[in-house]
Amino acid sequence: MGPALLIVLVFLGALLLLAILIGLYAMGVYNGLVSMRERARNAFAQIDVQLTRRYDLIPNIVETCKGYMAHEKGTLEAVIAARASATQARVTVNADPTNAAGMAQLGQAEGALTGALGRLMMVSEKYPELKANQNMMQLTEELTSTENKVAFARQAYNDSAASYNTYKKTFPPVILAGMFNFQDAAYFEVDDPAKKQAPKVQF
Amino acid sequence: MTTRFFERQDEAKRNTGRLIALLVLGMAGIAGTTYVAAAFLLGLLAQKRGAEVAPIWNAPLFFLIAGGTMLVVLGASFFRTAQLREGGGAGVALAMGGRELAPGRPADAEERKLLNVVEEMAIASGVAMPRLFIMEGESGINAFAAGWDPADAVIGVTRGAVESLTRDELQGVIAHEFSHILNGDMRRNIRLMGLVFGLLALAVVGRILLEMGWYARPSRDRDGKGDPRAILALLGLLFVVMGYVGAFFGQLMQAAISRQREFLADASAVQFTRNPDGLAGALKQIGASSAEVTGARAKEANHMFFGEVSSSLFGFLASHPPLEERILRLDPSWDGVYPQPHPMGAGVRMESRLQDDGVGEPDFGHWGGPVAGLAGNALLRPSPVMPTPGRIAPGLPPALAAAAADRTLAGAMVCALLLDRRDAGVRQNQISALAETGPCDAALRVASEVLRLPEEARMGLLDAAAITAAKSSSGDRDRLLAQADAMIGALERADLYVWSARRVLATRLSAAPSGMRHASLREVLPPAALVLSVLARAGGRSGRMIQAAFGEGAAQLGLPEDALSPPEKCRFAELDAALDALACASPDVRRQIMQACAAAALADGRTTAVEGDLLHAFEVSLGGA
Repeated sequence: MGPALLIVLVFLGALLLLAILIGLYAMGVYNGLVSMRERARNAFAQIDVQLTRRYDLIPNIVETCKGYMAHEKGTLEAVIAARASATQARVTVNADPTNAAGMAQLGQAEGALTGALGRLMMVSEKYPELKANQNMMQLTEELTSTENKVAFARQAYNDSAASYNTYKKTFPPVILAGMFNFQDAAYFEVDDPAKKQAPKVQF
Repeated sequence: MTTRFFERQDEAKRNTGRLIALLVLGMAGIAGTTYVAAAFLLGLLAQKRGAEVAPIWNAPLFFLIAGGTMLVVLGASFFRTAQLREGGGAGVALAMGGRELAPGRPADAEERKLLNVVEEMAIASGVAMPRLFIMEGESGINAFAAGWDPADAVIGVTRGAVESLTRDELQGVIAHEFSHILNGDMRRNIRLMGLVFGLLALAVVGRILLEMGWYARPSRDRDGKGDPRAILALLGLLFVVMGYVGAFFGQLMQAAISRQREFLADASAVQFTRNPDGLAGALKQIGASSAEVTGARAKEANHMFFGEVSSSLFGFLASHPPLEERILRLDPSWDGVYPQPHPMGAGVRMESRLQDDGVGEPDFGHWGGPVAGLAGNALLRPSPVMPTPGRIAPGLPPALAAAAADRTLAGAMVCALLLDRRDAGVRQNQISALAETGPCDAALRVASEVLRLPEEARMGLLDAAAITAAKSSSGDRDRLLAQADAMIGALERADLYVWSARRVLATRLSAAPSGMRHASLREVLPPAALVLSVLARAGGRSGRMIQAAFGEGAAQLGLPEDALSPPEKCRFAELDAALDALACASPDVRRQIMQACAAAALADGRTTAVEGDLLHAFEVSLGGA
């Protein structure tokens, strides 16, 4: 065994070692990408839960208001319509935050629903009996809380989406993300700036 | 401002790290100093004895002292830590007199709100929902977090915080507590308390050694210079000094760390809620009222609370930073003036809306609904008239008292007394409505003076005028009632004063029907309960105060405490019906009911104008029993 052969062997061994190390590193990066994407999905699922709850609350509120607000048919119908389109958009997104078009649509529908609810709450201020209604008070509190929960869950989701997107764009994860087709997680923004705030419900 | 919480968090974390490093250094210092001192003393003794001077580095001695010190301190710390952990967060909350709120069905609206706010913050902070306790008896504004780790964590909130903070403020307080859970502050605190205890234990061990050396009989070896007992006593003395000094500085550091963690928690709370105003508002409310917690165990758990449970601590041992400093970090533009404390409780939730108009008087309009439902109600079922002399408060302007007694002016007085006090526009509507029924110059003439009267003087004057007016012809009386109804109809909403005034007028001016049945107390218990409930709700500011006031009155009639009518039952129509029913009771029973009403009104030690108005109306309706 000549010295030349030894050098070649050592070189090959080093190359193999390097390949293994790179492979292990790539595995780690890939796993990191997957777990961050899952974390974003999970955070989105949290929003989803609260959105569903909100959609469930709305018919109850409309039903309670109906008894008192005979002359506000238009406002009530606007809420029902907005709820229907938001429910539809939620189904379209199908719990996949990388579905950018669906997310934008959901954001828009949510904005419209929040606006319609805000108007309803504003109009309901004019009906002291409705405001004094025990059931309505309870529903209003639940709605306020659910809207807060949506906002906080959205905040948590956007944070996790941001860290996933940032990691995905850095080098070297960007290579793997491109190879395995990791999509950006879309931020969940409620579109209209005027509607960004939850309706100020005050009793 | 809102985006600077990350900096604040970093700053607070850095400071905490520095303090913990100091504490570790202190521990090493204790062991080192004890060793050096002991080695020096040993050397001194050896020199006196004339023996060979021992080298300064004495490995067995070092290991003995350092090991012994560490063993005592760490052993005692572990013992104390385990003791503090025992029972977990729930144990602490129960010891503090907390009642657990289960997520299923909270009892009242306030508790539901609290539970919702905690759920919201759990989502915002990403911490699992902790168990939630409410401290019923505490009216100060405070809250605490306890437990070893997030899985064991509990949050406790005083009744005062739940009832007197707005939703945003409550959210800030709860977010602060979540930060303690997330940052592991409770665990850190328990460890530090364990460490301080360990240092105190060192002092105790030292004292035992000292006594052993001191009181033991001297050995027969009279030159005694190498007496091991002297060494023992000296070593003990060193331990005592080190232990106490260490514990003192340990406590100082524990307090300093705790203050840093409070700043960190405030900063994190803003991160969770993205709303510094809520937390700042809660702190200002504490400044305006108090964070006092009176429970027996509260003082020793002071470090866990949102604000100091009592204010008599020395600044350097306080576990919380000064309130002003905490507020200024959240709201740098604060002018140092605390706001008016919020009124407490669901009964006055409406008041906050009214305060926007700069009016503080509680408005109970939401009970009554449309004014139209009030007008004529009492007229249809008039109550028996049993005139009692109208009470006129002393100190009333003599001109007004004279006008109330003057038959030609009494009607005008009544009208002027029904004018709205807040809104000139509403008053204008009322005057227009009055003008439609006939001339109203006299009413307008007395109006300006009547509007300046203190609120509690109105009802007496109105009753006096009504008694005077009752002496006029039946046509005049009917016309006055019609005028009053027209004026009430022009109001946007009727409050309890208006209802009381209407009730007194109707009773004084209507002819007495002879429908008296002399009903027994048992027969009129339900209407009595309603009347008491209205009175309690009118005067009580919190759910607890309402219940207490109702209880005072209910006890006199043998009513159960839970007979308190819900707010939606306390409407004008129901109240009128109840009073009509009570008016049919025998005189003895009516007297008893009036006494119960008086007891309910006085339950909180004071009678507000609204309570006085109601009592007056009840008394007149029940024939001045």
